[in-house]
Amino acid sequence: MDPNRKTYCWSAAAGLATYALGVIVMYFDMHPVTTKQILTVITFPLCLAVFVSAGINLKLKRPPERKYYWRMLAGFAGYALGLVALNYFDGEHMPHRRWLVILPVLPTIYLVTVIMSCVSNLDEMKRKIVVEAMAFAGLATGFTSFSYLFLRDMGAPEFRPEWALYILWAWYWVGLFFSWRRYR
Amino acid sequence: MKNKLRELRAAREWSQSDLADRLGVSRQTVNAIETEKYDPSLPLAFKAARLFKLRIEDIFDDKAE
Repeated sequence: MDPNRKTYCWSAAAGLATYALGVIVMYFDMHPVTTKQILTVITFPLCLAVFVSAGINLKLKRPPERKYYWRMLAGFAGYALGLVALNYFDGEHMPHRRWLVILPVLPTIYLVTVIMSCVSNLDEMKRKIVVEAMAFAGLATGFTSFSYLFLRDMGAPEFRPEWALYILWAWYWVGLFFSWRRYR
Repeated sequence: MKNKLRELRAAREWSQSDLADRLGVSRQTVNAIETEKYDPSLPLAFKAARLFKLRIEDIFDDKAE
């Protein structure tokens, strides 16, 4: 087998294994999992699996892609540390406790700059596809979130802010599919 | 946009990947330009013109006339 293909197979297998393990660990850690937590259990291990899988085939990537991998990893590590620090320092009597929210927010601002820098350095057609998908996802998420208010008024549960991220991701992949098909 | 990229590339016996490497874009971009699904940016059009030692309008036709 071609060594590159072998590496891709290993990275895919490792990614799937990491995801399965992550879901199992989180499921039993958070047991009993409520309907509100189920999306977290499904999506959080996905981030970890993507990093493990991409890390294994990193040597096959071009230098700029490797650079973005490490920057994204640093950003996510900072975010995770920020969350840990937030939970550690947060207390009822802590003065100005609301400022602690900056701890995980700063790494996310860094992540946004890394993503924007990555997109702007993409091949021009790929950049167009990604930007179209992002624009579609942003608009569709706004309209979906707003439309949900009508459902809420009819008795649906209150809209949770974290849903917006999941909806954004879902619309992004839909947008990416249609945009990619157009230029294929 | 109509273009002669495929003919020019074939005359030099270059693959799409060869041309993509010379233009600094992906093979998919070259393919999309050749099949007229994607219009290249002005810098990329200039790069192609320089590569083939032609004018931009000799390679790309905007059907204006």
